[in-house]
Amino acid sequence: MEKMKMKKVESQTVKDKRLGLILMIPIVLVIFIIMGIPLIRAIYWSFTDKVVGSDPNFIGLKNYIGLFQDKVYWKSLRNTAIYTGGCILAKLLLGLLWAVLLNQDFKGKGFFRTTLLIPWALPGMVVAMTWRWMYDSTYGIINSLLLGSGLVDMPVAWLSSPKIVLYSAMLVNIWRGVPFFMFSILGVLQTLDKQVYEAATVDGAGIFKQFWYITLPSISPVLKVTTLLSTIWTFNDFENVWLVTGGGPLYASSVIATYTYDKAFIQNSLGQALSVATSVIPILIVMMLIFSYFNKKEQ
Amino acid sequence: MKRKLLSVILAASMVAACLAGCGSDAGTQETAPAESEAPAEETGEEAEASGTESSGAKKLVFWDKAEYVDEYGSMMKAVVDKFAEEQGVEVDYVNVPSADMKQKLMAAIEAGNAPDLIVGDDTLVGQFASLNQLESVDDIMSEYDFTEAALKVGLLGDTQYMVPQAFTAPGMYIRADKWQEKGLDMPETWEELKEQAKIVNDPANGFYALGFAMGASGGGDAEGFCRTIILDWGGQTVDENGNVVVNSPETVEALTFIKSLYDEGLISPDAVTGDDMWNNQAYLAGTAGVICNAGSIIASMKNDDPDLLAKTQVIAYPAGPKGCYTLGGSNVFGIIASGKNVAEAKDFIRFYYNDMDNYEAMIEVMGAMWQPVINGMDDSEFWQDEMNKPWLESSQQCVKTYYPAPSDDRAMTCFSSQLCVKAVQEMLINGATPEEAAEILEKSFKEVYEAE
Repeated sequence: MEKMKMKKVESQTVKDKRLGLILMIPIVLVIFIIMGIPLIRAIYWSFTDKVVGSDPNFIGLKNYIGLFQDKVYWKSLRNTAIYTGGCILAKLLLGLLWAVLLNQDFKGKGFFRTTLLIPWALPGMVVAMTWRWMYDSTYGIINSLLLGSGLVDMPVAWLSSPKIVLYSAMLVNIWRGVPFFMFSILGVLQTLDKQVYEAATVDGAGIFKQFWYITLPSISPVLKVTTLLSTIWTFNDFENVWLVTGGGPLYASSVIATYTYDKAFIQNSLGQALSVATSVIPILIVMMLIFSYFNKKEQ
Repeated sequence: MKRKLLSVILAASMVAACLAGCGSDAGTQETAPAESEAPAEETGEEAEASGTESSGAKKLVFWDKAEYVDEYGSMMKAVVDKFAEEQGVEVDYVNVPSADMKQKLMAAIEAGNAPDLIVGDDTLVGQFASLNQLESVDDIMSEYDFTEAALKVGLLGDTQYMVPQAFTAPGMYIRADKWQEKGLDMPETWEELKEQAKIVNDPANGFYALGFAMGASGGGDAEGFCRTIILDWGGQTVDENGNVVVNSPETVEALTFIKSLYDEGLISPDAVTGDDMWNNQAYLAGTAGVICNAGSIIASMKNDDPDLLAKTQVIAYPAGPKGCYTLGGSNVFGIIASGKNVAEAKDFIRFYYNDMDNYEAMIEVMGAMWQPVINGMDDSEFWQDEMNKPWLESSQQCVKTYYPAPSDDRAMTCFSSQLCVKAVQEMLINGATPEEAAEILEKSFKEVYEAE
């Protein structure tokens, strides 16, 4: 009897799985048509001398060899790592801090929540143009404030110094991206039972212990998802870097996305541009695998 | 584990597909952010379905460069409507901002729904000629009385690929009030301009005497400026036989001069990331005293800042020690070879030039920003006006942006790749000497000219 019950359950599970697979087919097909085919084509073209409007000619690894000998490519890759890593870390820490602060009861909480959402809601073009004006060394408000307060003697070359320009672009990305982390984390914090914290307080746990042992484990799943999503978006961020710095000066703030654009639309070489884009696929896959590993470990 | 691995690879591949999207239709559309900005009668997407409509009527898709002067758009639309009515051809007329034209066009060509006819800057449209994407217009060029200079605009090798619509000669815009304040005359040489700039310069109060952009994110202003100085100092990038001759003592001197303008703080340090909009914005914001630009900025001042226009004087380009060159641009028609209505596109251009009264009116409505490409218009009252005459003269003296190099795809590639700008940036950013910059320039040009 017990065996028959087990068999019935197993058969139901197989049926469920089959149904799940069947239901997934349409979306997998759509994704394959929309993304898979262009991806396959893009990978193939990265091995060709493709330029706009012409038929691609297979040239083997020539594009990739050229790429790996190209100093600008390595600079762009390094900048992408700094840009992604720095932005994610800052957005995560600031988002967490703001979420914890906004989870407290204080007057004007609604106002702050709404105001802090504005950077996320603004169009990227508006944000970039506004920051460009703010960064301007002649009439920008940032230099005006710094000079006025006596913190600097000379205007800071936010957009023209190769040592600073990447960080200027990062600041814009961070400013715009913090609300995403903040509201994702805040959403979870608001579901946490206050009694747990009260019990912890009775047991003698301080604020830091409460954060470490209660808050952090509770928000951990959402932290992982937001970090992963934001990492992908930041890694592929073109709009912000291009509009704020144009990838310059002299590729000082060039990232993989802007360098791909430069190759495709300024140097008119689609084949080379696609080799730049395709070359980072392994990096993205490794990032996914690491995320997947930690996710599985926790489960 | 295998399934998880597969799902991760799939997910990563999708991300990469977005990144690699410049090879896909969806991705290229992302790089064309200004659709909402276009004061278009119809959007680019609406214009995608070119060719023959289901009703059987021909449908000509025409992408026109959005101009600062509103009257131009309405006048061209009237021509389009008249053509459509008389020829029985449906026309999709789309205004595309100049900054977006290249990306939109590349995407459209790759997607197989390119427009039939475009109007754009000659340097931009010329790149599509060098990519073998334009139809020959030898027949049209022989049918009308184009000026000698106009006949050279669209010539690539021995074939005409672009029909000039109007010259857009550049001028030098000077804040005359600032110059008068210091009792200075208008400069006649670059050296004189530099000395005067030192007197007028006041960065502590947010005013830089010069506003020459030096960013390498596309556009032609910065590259044009560098090449003008090289020519004025007696240097050349490529000679008339296609030999790379840029690494010369004259070029080194020219580069030294350009470097000094930035080193001596006469130009805002932000110029090294400034694009073609940057110099306009700096001038309109009152933070730059001199810029080189086509006439479009006048229209902007007329509409938004007449006070600034009153303080502005437009002068001819100063001379260098070995000459005085003005690298001129023009607006041109181009017919996309892969378009579905090449014959109708040619018919439209003919229709446009058959009505010379309308053409003349259109030129005049643009102020002096546009100069005619057809013979016989110089004597009109409009061009005899003292305000307008210098622009006409300037257009007649202009040389091509890659002068004296032969008109071919290599010249176009070198100009659009902004090789001179990048060499100047090497000096300004990486501290290269003018000699080293000249060597970098030579290497960059040779990579294009001596490629297999």
